[in-house]
Amino acid sequence: MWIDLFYCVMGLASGMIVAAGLATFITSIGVVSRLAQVTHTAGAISWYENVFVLGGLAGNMYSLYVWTLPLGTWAMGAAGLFIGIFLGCMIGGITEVLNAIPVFYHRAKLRCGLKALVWAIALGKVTGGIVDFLIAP
Amino acid sequence: MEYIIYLKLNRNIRTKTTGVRIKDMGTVYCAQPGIKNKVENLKILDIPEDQKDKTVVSVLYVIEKINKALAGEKNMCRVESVGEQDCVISRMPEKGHGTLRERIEMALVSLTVFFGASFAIMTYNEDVDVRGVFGKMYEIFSGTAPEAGGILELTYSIGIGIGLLIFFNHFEFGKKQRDPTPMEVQMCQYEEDVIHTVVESSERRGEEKDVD
Repeated sequence: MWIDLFYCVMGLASGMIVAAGLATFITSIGVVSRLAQVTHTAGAISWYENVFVLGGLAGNMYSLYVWTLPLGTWAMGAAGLFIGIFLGCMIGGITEVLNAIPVFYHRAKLRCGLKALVWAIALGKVTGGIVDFLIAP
Repeated sequence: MEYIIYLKLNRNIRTKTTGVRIKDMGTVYCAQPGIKNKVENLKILDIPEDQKDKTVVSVLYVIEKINKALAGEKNMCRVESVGEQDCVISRMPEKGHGTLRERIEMALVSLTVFFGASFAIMTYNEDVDVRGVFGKMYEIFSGTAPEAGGILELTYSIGIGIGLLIFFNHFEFGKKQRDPTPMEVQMCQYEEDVIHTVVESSERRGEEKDVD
């Protein structure tokens, strides 16, 4: 009985710490706020936070317990697309936090071509993903 | 006698009309109500409706216009600026809330955030092998490992929900009294950075509305 109580406390505490770490990471990268700003829906940021909480809970349910949700290939494709969009924003956010591109620009004394660089990065990542998953797994 | 006109310009305004008056850009105070009304309703510039770029106006430009308009006053008037030194004006077209496009965008962003958050926590759990660690804990404390999830996984999942809600301050009710959530603070900081960049690049290109 005491063991069960200890398990309760341990589980709750570890869950709360993991959640705080995940939320801090995503917030300081600025993924959700950038998405809200680009679509001019900044007023709904509380709603996006709620959706984030739901998503975290759903993902956790799927990874710790065994469920089946047979919705077909199209639903999986759509889910993959949204996951990819989120991951792309996250990678962009991390790159901005690390200031990699501005420092490179400053050192190389470049003035133009920022757009081409961003397109190159995006296309490169798409190609890399396709090659990694489909062509040579 | 001398009247002092206090001019407090805002940093960032949005306007729906074509003509921009001083009372759109900030607030004016003067002990003499007649002068205050006259200054407030002075038109500074015109912005056409389809203007996408932001216009940056320097406070000196505004003060020049005020002095020209009050040149004939019999009392001496002095303008003091107690607000921002540059004002960024964005032209907001007449767009209603709750349009179909806005709802579609909100739905897309919500789906992205939902799947992204679930994917993030799934990969985290796999990365750090939460199941393995919990199995080890069961072995340490009770000698057996329950198969399909026991109390540790259940409370861990509940703890994740509680932790996220606490982090985003969603336990305090009442929209006006609570502090802004971390994401709202992030958005505000980002907007301030954007405005600062707009002012700097506008000055650099010489497009700011300023006195010569």
